[in-house]
This record gives sequence, structure tokens and C-alpha cells, in this order.
Amino acid sequence: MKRTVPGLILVAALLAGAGFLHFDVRSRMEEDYFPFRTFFLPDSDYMKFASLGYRSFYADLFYIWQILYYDYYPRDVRYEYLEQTFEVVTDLDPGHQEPYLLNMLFAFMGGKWDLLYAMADKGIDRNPDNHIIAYDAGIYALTAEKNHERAIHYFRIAQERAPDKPIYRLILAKAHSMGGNLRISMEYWRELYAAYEDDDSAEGNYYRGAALRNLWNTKIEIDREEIGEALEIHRLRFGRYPPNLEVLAAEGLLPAVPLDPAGIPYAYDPVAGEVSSGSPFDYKEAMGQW
Amino acid sequence: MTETRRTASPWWVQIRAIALNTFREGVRSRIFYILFAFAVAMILFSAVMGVLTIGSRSKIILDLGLTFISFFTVMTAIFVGIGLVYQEVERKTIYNVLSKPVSRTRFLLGRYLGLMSLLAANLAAMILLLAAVLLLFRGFTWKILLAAGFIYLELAIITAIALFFSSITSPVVSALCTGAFYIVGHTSSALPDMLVPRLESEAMKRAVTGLYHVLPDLNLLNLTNQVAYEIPIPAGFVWKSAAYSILLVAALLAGACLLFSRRDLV
Repeated sequence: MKRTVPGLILVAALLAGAGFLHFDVRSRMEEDYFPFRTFFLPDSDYMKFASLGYRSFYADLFYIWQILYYDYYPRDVRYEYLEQTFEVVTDLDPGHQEPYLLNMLFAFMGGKWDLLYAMADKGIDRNPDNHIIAYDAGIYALTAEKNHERAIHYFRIAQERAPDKPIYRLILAKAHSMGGNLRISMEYWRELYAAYEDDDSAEGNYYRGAALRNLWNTKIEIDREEIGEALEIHRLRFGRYPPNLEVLAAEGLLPAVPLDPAGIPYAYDPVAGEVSSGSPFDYKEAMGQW
Repeated sequence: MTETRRTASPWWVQIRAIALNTFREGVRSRIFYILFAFAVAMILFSAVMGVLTIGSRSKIILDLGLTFISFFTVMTAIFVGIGLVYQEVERKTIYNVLSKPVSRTRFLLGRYLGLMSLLAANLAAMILLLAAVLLLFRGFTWKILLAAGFIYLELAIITAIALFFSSITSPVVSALCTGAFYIVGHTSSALPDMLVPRLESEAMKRAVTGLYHVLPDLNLLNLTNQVAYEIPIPAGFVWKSAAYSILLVAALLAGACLLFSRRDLV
């Protein structure tokens, strides 16, 4: 009894001290001691060996860590961590599609285009049958970075890997159109139309309709571009626009005056030198044209 | 007075009796329940991880679930297996068995089959739980049964190794040796890609490559990735891997029987 009470007091005092320090250190951890927690991640080669064959298990754990903590670090080091963890996750489990897509999204959010494309290239390289990663990268290039050439590069890969997917023909036509390659865009729309010409399914109707509408609009754009160029040459020669479009054909600046997709002549304003089509898109009319 | 002459039971009755006894012993052991409880908790934890992920939820649950099942059943095989023979010798209970017309080989086979049936029940319960979790997340696939079959083959090898060491050394040494075998078995497949390119000496390269061909490869029995990605599993792979495991187990059991039959138990 003589020793029990002081012993218990000593234990209680030690526990109280430990509890106080535990509380103190934990409450100051993030603000005073470590502004951000460092995360040590061994390289891929080491992890392949240390995972004892359970590579996808560790890849999953690191992937979930990325989801939970990718924005935990300051911006200047965030993408270094992202790249490092991405390398480990995709080296351990190269066939898992989601880490590529998610890391590309993170890179997009930071505007890190080189990192995004490097991630996409690795995914494309490691997964020869996968077309989604290339498509995703193309969408970022087309809509976010506005890099049409790169977008076309990725969409071509996607189309080569999944030639039966009409979406890739459609998106390639759009990308060429947005990049200013109207004639190539026209070819893709024609291919898409030909693929669904006799298909009366809901999907067939959708793609045929989209192809016809875009063929209609692209033809107008190509014609306006050609007529516009001829009008500019005429203006440079004579100091004014011609009174009508037939003059351009007579002068050899146009092989013939093109008609709009409905077969009606383009409206022409000789003062402003502008041409326009007044014909609204007509599905039946378009079906007759192409 | 009439003399009744007692004849020895057939060999399979003897082995079955020892196996049944081993099964009961295993079911009563604390380590079995502790590891089983951990495995159940980890399988449920894999469902939580599935919720935290973005996309491919069932793939993550499958990956984590099968890995936890594999790990915890192997731990059960090691920790229960290492005492299979040693404890019987230590407690002198082995004399009760061997004083009857039961050969040492039958004793070892009975112990082995008893533990294998315990592990089968353990594995079946865990797979059922994982299947229930996968059904809940609409990611169930019948292929987990094939993956479970391959986990069982790995357990058969690990248990045979544990029994082999248990019949000649103490539990601590058995645990170390079986653990080392497990680690080597799971890392040997990485030797040609990881270690060989880093070696400068040609002789060392040849030695490591030779080692790679000789060492057992337990990763052959890990089908988690194939099941998770629904990769077709060729029939040739299945039967050859199964035959490889069975031959390895047979060799280990034969070695264990040979060593144990010569061991002085006094």
C-alpha cells in the first residue's frame, strides 16, 4: 500500500504529461512545425520489388492517396508530387485507366499542359488497346489549350484504335474545322455520312443528321472563303468589289460561281463585298445533295 | 476367456481422424480468430476505400479484398502451421498417437490435411464476405472463385513449407524460414527486371538469372489483376500452375515425411 499510491500518482502524472505534449504537438503540427506534411514515396523500381507481387494493391492505395491529398501541397511543389505519385501508380499498375484520366484532370486544373500530355503519352504507350486516354487528351488540347494540331494527333490515335467508333470521326471533323482545315473536315463529315447513309437506327439517324448539318455549314464556309479571296483579288485590281459574282467567273478568279447547299445563289452585297446564304438547313434538301 | 484381436484402422481412417483433430485444434486457437477478425475488418475497409476512389470502384474493392484475403490466410497458414508438429512433440502428445499403429507419414499427412481444411473454411468465409461486398457495389464476378482457388494453391505450398520446417525445427525458426520463403516467392519474379540490369559483373548476372529460374514463383498464383481487368485466363495456364503447385507440395511433404521419420523424438 505504501508504494501503490505514489506509484499510481507517478503513472497518472506521466500520462498527464504525455497527454499534454501529445495535444500540444498535434495542435501545432500544421501551423507551427510543418506547413505541409512531407510525403516520402520510394521510386517505382523499389516499389515493384517491395510490393511482394501485390503491385495493383499498392497502386490502388497510392491512387486513393492522390485523390484525397493532391491539393494538400502548395502549388509550387504540388505538381512535383503529382508527377512522382503518378509515375509510381502507373508503373505498378499500368493497365488501370482511371489514374491516367484523373491525373490528366489535375494537370489540366493547373494548366500544366506538358505534364498532361506526358501522362497521356505514357497511358497511350502502356495500353495499346485503350482509346479513351487519347480521346481525353485530345479533348483537353482542343477545348482547353486550343492546340488543334495536338488535338488532331490524339484523336487520330483514338480513331486508329477504335475505328468503329463514329464519335472519333465526328470529333476529328470538328477539330479540323476549328483548326481552319475546312476541306479535310469536309472529308471526315462525308465519311461519317457514308458510314450511316442507310442506317435507320437512332444512332444512325443522329450521326447522319450531324454529318449533313455540318456538310451544309462547311460547304457554305468553304464557298464564302473562296468567293471572299476572289473578291479581294478583284478589289486589289480595280479598287472596288464587282457588281455581281458572275464577273469573278468571267475573269477566271473562280471556276464557276458556287451555289449554296440548297442550290440557290449566294446573296451578295457589292458595297461591303460580303456573301451570305439565306437558305436554312433543310434535312431533305441536304439528303438530296449528298 | 475370449481374446479379442484388434486390427489397425485403414490408413485413410487414421489420416482423417488426425486431420479432424487438427481442424478442431485450429478452430480453438486464438491466433486463428485474431487473423480472421483482422481479415474481415480489412475486407470491409476495402469497401470504404472503394467509396473514396473515383471510377472503377469494384476494381479497387476486388484488388484490395483479394490481397487482404491472400495475406491473412497466408499468415494463418504460417502461424498455425509452424506449431503443427513441434507443439505435439513439446507436449509429448505425439507419443500417444505414435504408440498406436500409426506411421509418422500418416501423422504428418493428417496434420497437413487438417490445416488445409481449416484454411479452406477460412478462405470460403472470406470469399463469401468479399462476394457480398462486391454484390453490394454491383461489381461481383464469378472469377473471384478462380482467384480464390489460386490463393488456396498458394496456401497449400506455404502450409507444406511450414509443416516441413515444423517437423525439424522450433516454431520461431520455422516462422522465419516460412516467412523468408513467402518473401522470396513473391519477389523472385522481379529479379530479371530489377536486379540484373543493375549488376555489372557478367558472372553475377548469370548467377542471379540462374537463381530466378530455380526459386519458386508464388506470383504465378496471384490472379488479382486478371480478375479485376477481366483478362481471359487460358486453360493451359490454369492446369500448369495447379500442377506446378501440386508437385511442389508433394515434394515438400515427401521431404518432410522423410526427415520426420528419421528424427529422434526422445
